[in-house]
Amino acid sequence: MLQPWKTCIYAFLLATLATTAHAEDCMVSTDPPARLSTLPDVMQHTDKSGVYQVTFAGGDLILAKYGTCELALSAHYLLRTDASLKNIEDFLAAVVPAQGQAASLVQQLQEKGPLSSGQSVSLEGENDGHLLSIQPASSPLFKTVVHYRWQAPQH
Amino acid sequence: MNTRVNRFAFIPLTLFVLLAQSACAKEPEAPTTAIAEPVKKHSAQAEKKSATQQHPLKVNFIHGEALMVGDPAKEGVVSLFAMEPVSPSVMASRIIDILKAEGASKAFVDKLEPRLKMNPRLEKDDFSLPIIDEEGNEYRFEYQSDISNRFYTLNYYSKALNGE
Repeated sequence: MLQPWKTCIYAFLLATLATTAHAEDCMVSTDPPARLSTLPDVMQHTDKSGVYQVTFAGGDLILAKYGTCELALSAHYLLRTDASLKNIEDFLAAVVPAQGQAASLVQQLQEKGPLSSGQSVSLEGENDGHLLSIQPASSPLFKTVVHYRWQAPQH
Repeated sequence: MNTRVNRFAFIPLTLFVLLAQSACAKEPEAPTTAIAEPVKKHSAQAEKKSATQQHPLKVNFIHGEALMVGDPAKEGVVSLFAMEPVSPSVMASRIIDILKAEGASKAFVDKLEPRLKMNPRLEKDDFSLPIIDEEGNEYRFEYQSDISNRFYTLNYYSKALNGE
């Protein structure tokens, strides 16, 4: 029989291998939209394995969902005020998965003209799509909501 | 003449009111007739005027991925945001969690929970649900599904009834 400490180590190694093997079944995943926590005035953020949340000192907040075993990202930016052009552009630049594309997507957004409440806009990345939609907030605690959804590259 | 009213007479009365609501019966106490109305957004709009102060909101996750939000400057209003639809059973649990967080009595909540899980209204994409406890406090829940944007909001409003 093995000494207890050896059993412990082998069990640990087996568990690690098992986890790694399982993780390899997951061919793709989406990174959490961590750049959202670098927006101005952020007070606190939380990353809960697939759900990302940011709160701002002024009361605004962002709730996002990202695929831990798939390519998927959506985010909902709740504002206590109207969404200014800067709010929308900063949000877009921080949420899109490929940081390198942020500037050109913001420019595309600017070319489409001002986004008003009730409007949606579709932006094209190099091989992906980005949907933005502005609505009156569904909650009495907020005034506006900006929805973002990533349309991941087709296989 | 003995005019003392037995306090416990209100319990069967309240249960009757709850049952009567599900049968859409008309009730002399005005607030309970609100259930017959479809979900209206104007109550949220009316509150928006005061939603402009800049200060942090109270935020925490409940029941997995639902985000509960309250405003310290605005008592009696809570919003719960989710990014997926849920079963009536999970919806009932979320309603119960909000009631508990907002100070409803444990006895009342425990009695309500099994009844709530069976309420067919919780199967809808949008619903309005008033709840009245033994003391006559009204709790109103309104649920809205924005299916194309995959954003689901449960709003809670409390108000104490006047009178009995």
